[in-house]
Amino acid sequence: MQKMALKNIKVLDFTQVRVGPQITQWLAVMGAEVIRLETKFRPESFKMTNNPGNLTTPGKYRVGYFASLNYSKESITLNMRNPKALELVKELVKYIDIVAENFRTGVMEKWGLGYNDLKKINPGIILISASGFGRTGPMKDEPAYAPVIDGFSGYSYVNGYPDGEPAEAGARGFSDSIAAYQGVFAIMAALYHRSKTGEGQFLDLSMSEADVALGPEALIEYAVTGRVQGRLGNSDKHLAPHNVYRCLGEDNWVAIAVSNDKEWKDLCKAMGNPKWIKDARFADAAGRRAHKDELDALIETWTVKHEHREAMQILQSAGVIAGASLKVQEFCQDPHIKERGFLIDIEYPDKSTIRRSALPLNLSVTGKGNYTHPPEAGENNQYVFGKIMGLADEKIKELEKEQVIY
Amino acid sequence: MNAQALSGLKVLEYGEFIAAPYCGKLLADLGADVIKVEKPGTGDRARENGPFPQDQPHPEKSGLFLYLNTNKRGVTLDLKKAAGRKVFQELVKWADVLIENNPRQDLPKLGLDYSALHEINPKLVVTSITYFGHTGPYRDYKGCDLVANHVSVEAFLNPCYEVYNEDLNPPMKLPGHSGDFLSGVIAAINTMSAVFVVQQTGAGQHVDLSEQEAVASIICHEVGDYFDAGITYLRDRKYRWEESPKYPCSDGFIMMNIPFQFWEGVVRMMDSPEWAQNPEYKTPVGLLHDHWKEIQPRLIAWFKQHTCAEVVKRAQAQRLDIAIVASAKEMSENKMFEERGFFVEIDHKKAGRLKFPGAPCKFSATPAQTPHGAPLLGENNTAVYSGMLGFKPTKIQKLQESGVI
Repeated sequence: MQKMALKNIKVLDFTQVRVGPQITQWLAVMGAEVIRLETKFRPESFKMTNNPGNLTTPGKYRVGYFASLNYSKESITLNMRNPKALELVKELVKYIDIVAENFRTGVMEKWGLGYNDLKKINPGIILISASGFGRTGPMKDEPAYAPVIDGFSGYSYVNGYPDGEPAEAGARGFSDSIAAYQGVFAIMAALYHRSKTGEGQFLDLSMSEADVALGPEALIEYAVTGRVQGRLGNSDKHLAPHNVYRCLGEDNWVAIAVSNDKEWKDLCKAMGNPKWIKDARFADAAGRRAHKDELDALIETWTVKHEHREAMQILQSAGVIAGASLKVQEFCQDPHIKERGFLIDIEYPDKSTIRRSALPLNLSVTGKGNYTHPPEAGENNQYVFGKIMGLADEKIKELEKEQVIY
Repeated sequence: MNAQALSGLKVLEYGEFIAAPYCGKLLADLGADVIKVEKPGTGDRARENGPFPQDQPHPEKSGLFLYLNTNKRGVTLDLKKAAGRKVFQELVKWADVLIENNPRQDLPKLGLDYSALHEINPKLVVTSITYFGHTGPYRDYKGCDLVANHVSVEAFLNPCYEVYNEDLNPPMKLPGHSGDFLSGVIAAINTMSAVFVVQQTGAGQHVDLSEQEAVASIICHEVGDYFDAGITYLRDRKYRWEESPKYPCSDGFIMMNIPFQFWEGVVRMMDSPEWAQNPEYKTPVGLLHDHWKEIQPRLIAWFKQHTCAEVVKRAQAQRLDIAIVASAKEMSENKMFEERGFFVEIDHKKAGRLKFPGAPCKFSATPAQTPHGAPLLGENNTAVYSGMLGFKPTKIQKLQESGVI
């Protein structure tokens, strides 16, 4: 852990479900000590739902989705309804650098843990607060539900086929992920500022704003031309061919894009220079754009003869921009992904392991990050209350009995 | 002027289009000193992308370029010329960070691979963004946003329920250039991570970011499902986690979340029709499991009789979780964004006033300033080459005449 970017940084993690835990996961992997605050009275939501990855070994408790987002973290249990637990948290804050939460607006303040409260205890504290629509403004009390945020932030409107309807954006967790990454970057910037000045601050991360900032193209179009952009599917405003073509086999497809005349010639050559390439309509970029539907149909007569990964290989060898449309299992078995070390095995204390995707963190000296097992609830009670806060063993036992540490 | 979060961080940006420039923008907008290096003549190819006012192409008025390059200083420099590379080395000595998104072999071919850069400036963080990364069997594969979306499984899992017709429609990428933007923000995280290590050790390092991995980071659960339980998601409804929350109104679509506790509110929103009062709908299992298939078409029929605005008004009166599937126009006029001060008005020398999305996160102590417009091509040549690097006028003239700058 010596050279990790966030060594010596401690995070008190109140986050739940997806956007919040994804933020603190990055911090943990970059070397911070992330202390999840949980309680036996209310198991984390993923632990309650039926994830395919739930293991049912007696006494053990491995939960798939919880594991995906919470590796490398620690966990304490505190019953926040008990005033003694609140006192403990306020004491713990003295040792903390970053507090992270994604509750409904007002929850932290109700506990006396709003930014101004935290600042009194620890002047340099950084608080990141993730919500659907921000902690100020007319929608600060709205819950954060991803499809609603997608609709609001414009992604849904532009996500779909030209002849079809809008759709929720992206694979599950898309809008959470985008906002989480913006949040992690904001924290890093706040830490940089603090390293120079000692000053902490409050980071108000509105998922809808974070998402819009990362997906601005329709708004740019509207600002500059007044046009409302529609849905483009896999096509591009400028490039042709630029589409996804059926390949041999069940639901196999390959994406191909051509961005200049040389790449067009390379594509033609890779396809064996079929007669139809000489068609005058396809002679230049403008022509290929104007007749892209016919062009796409003709390209597909070649791709259908090849499995998608084979098509990708043939095309790439010829210098063509191409990519197989991978399914999850194909991605998980892909030789490039494997060699890149993007899939990691994480070991639990009982020596059992789970395999997960790593974070896209890749530094030449520091490496790919810190990957340790996702914590059981309260796994680190002794360490945090005893070692960090200096409570005696008897005191901790007493608080456990009183269901304060619970 | 308030202090800025990244004041004092010196960044050299040598890239084009979106990924590296978006990373540079994130840093510049928080106060880092970002010098953007463009080739003389045409500059960053985003200048040709548009959109353009009145659809008239102009290298200083491309909407995408203007958004991506706020708050940066701009210089021209031709690295293909030896004299250009010498100037670049001076800039490298100045910088804390170099961000680039060139094909893997480009800088090494110019004698500027990571170890050469590290020798010039041992504290330098070099952030390289490519589609497949610098290692592995696909390290020299060509990419683009479309390809990144598909090789990361993001496209295969992009839900498109109503248009969904597996026999006709291929898997679909995310809108716009989401992959490129995503790799920009993840590059910014990696960069800051390396900057903190420099603070501790005094030594720079190389960030090797693959856009395939950046986009694939979204599907962490699905990867977990495969390894935990051998689940292979197909483009098939039975593997979806929930029914679509999208409902068609008479003039558009809305997104609405209807968990069990909201059902009574939904019934009131519809003026309590008799069919909705069915006692079997009064339990979570009854509502969402047993009867949802017959309920949803009736809901849709009701929605179709009302405009989006009317539905939203009624739903908000019942404190329901709802949003219009908003177009850019609706978003631009959205009161909430206005009250939050989310949009910014940028005043650009050539392109004029533009209303663009603003900061992705609000900082209490170091709030974002009104952005300074993107640089004109070579706008800061004098300030940087003469003012900062101390080149004499004769040297600058020579560089200009030989097309180096």
